[in-house]
Amino acid sequence: MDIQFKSRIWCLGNNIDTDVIMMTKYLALPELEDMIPHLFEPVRPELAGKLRQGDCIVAGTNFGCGSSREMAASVLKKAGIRCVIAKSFAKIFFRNAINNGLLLIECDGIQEHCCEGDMVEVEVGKSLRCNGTEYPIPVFSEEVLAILQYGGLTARMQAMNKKTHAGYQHMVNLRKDIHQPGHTLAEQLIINNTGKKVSPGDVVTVSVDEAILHDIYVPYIFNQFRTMGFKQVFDTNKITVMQDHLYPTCLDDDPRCFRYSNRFQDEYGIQKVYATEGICHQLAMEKKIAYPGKFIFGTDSHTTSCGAVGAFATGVGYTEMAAIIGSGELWIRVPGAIKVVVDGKLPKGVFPKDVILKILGDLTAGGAIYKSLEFTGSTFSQMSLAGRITIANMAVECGAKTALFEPDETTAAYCGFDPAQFSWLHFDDDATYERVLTYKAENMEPYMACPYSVDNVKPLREVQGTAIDQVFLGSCTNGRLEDIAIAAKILAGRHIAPYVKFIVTPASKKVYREAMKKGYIKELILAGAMVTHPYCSLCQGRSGGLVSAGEVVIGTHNRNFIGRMGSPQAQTYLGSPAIAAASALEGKIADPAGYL
Amino acid sequence: MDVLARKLKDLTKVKADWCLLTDSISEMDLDILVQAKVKNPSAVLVTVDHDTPSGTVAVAHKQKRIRDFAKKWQMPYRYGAGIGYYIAMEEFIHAGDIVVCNGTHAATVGAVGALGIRSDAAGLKKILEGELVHLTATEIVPVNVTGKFDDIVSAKDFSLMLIHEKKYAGKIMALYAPDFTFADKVTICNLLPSGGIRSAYFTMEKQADGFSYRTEDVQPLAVLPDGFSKIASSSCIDGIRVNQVFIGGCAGGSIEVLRKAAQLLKNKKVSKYVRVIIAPASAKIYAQAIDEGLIEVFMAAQVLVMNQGCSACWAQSQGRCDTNEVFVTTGSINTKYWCGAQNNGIYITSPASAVKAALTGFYYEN
Repeated sequence: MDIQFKSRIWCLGNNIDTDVIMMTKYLALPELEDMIPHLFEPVRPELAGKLRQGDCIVAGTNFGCGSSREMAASVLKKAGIRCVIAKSFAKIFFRNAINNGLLLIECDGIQEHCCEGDMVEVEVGKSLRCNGTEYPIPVFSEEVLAILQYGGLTARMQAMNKKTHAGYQHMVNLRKDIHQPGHTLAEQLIINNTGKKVSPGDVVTVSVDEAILHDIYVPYIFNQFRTMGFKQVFDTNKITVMQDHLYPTCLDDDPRCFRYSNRFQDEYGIQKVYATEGICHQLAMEKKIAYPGKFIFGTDSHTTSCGAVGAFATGVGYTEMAAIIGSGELWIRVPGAIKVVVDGKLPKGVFPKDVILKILGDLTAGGAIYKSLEFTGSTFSQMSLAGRITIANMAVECGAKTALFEPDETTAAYCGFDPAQFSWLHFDDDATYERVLTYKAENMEPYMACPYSVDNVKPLREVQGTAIDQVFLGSCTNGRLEDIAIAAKILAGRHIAPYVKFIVTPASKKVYREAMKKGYIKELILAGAMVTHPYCSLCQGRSGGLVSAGEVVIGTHNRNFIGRMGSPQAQTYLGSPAIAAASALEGKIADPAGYL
Repeated sequence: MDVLARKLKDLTKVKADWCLLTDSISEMDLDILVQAKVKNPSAVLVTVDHDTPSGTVAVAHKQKRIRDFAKKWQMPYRYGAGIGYYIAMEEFIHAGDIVVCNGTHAATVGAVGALGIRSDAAGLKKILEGELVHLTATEIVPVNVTGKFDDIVSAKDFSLMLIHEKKYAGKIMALYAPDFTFADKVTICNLLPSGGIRSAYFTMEKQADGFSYRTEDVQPLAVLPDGFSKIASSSCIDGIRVNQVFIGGCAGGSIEVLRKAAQLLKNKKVSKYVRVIIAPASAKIYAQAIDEGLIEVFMAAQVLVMNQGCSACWAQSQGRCDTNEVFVTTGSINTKYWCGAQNNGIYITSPASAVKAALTGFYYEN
């Protein structure tokens, strides 16, 4: 890495999400080079053709938010982008970029004083100079600098593997299961994992309890794993491969990913490979992979879902995952924490989805970058585990590193443990939170995230009556039994509006089978739904209900970015399953209250 | 003489009772069709069934235009409710009806004794505007079939045998087969046009001076990839490695075929190296398959159960195949590069053969 260089500027705005950087439909292309022409396609289709070796990008806040796709970083690197300068970066993108040797510079100020085509002079760890002004920039931590100096995590791992001929030396488990007063839930979990006393900002190495790989990235992980020089995985029981995005195969390259999933099983002895079973986050719950106290890393940004049971869970890119399954460990920065307190009983027609949308609207898309979002209050203790999963799942939409609930009787009943076993993991009155958000459940009402960002949250009554073309009920956010049940209750014996398309995708096979047993699936089919096999379905925006310009979608899923559902001129609203079902019935955004 | 035969006395002047429009139509053909001043909208069924839910933005755009056309003329419209031919037979058309459709497999409605005729967009536009149909078929061939199908030979094999004989190309077949099931009839009417036969329908009256067939003379057959020109004994492909299996489409999505598949899959699991997709043909069949416990059997066998509709037979967004892969289907399309740009093609087989391939990963001779 050069410490000093000059670079030509391309300008982009705030909240440039990874779907904008690289659309989901291109992710299974075999080579990164094939993806370069599609960089920034939804917002700047011409830009990819203009990028030259050594150029840089200047953007606003929260660059790289959204999904965990590492291609957003690796394709930029492959296209020759020298660095990205932004006011702030989303946490997973930040790590992915560093792991690919792509330099990221946090700088607030240059954005308002430069134009495309201007030159910027960079001195890493010191300053930027552009149009006669000098801007100071932060120094990298030693860990980050070490990876950048190797040119990425792959080269660094190669060097480490060469050094240790006997194979990777795994960390000794230092678990204590003892509560240390004065700490946030995230800190408690890190202390328990590392045996060290920590405070926010510290960089620590944690041992990994569960690694979750999903099909899109498996070929990349497999190749990185081999390139890094690993000969075996750290633990064949702690790694799970989930085929949830690509089945049914909608592009010619998709089957390749399954071949690699099988290779992990056949060649490296990975025990858990799930095909046709459902979405990875739901399966993590059902298969008891998510468990209080565990450290779980998954190649999907919504891995935060596992925090519903009190696991430290977060998304990573494919290079990092290759390092994890080889080494069984990962460095993390101890996150600062935000506490969200909701007390009271939710009014009729208000669901966990409404609660998290309200919180996201208040926190904004970049409001909790690299924070631990910790939920407490009587509303959550009365809430089903399914509802908590919905909330933990969407926490990543404000940039959170992890989302945590304290394990309680409900968690114990679901996971099957003695509540006393995790008494060490609880909220401390004297813990330091950077921010506390307090709500009264009684004041909540149904909300919707409106186009084109998840934090553009409005009360349902403000958008009620908007004509819709398509409804999607499903995803890891709201594809569980209680979600399907409420939709079936609203739609039983009725038929959806004549020109509305209605897609229903249960989150897992278990959910599907239970819903079928209870008659919900049949009721939904007869009401006019297309009920698909459990998988990521339309939420990922690769196929399965893409829409054209001008169409309006209501979904129970988690993202409404530009182009996520197909055409950049389409609009997506996110809301609870009850709103989705009522809207399907009326052909416009509707209040479910009258049907409950 | 049956109702249809009477209606078809003069093949150059036939009145269509129904028109059926599906999303298999191209954008260019749609440009022509949407200009039609529809004379009798209540006799035009519009079904979006091929690529549902839509696989691409372009498809979504086309489907929206179809919807707007249906809405404009207040024609009966169904999105994603199942294969249009099935919906037509379940809800709209009856024996003796003449049905004109934009789809290749229009003849499928012959299963209920209606005559399905495919028309190009210009022709369909005229018919929508009230003109009579000019059938290009040269004659109506009467056929009588005795016997029923069993575990070894199926209606698929019989259809392939008729295609292979080549003598019915360009003609309409009127079939009398008292022991055939509805699913058998659907399979036969659906497949025959792929072999150049103009259309086919089943009648309740024994045909005088008809060709005679016996099911016991039928042998297991398969269609080899890239069109219907290569029909071979299923022993020719015994042992080939299979990557994807589909049970569904017009010929594989009926309740009878789903029952048969469930019977073969019960208490078993499909090979982990094979992707197996099952899609019921219509919402009604899907609901019935749930009631009969068939879907539960498929789920337990690790089959992917997709929504009602054309699914992997249309293969544009459900069931794509990679380089060197082999796809075995109960469907009716196996055009080169249909399910992917570089695969080793689609083999069309009977449902029983498809299930065996799903369980073992290999094509087995019956």
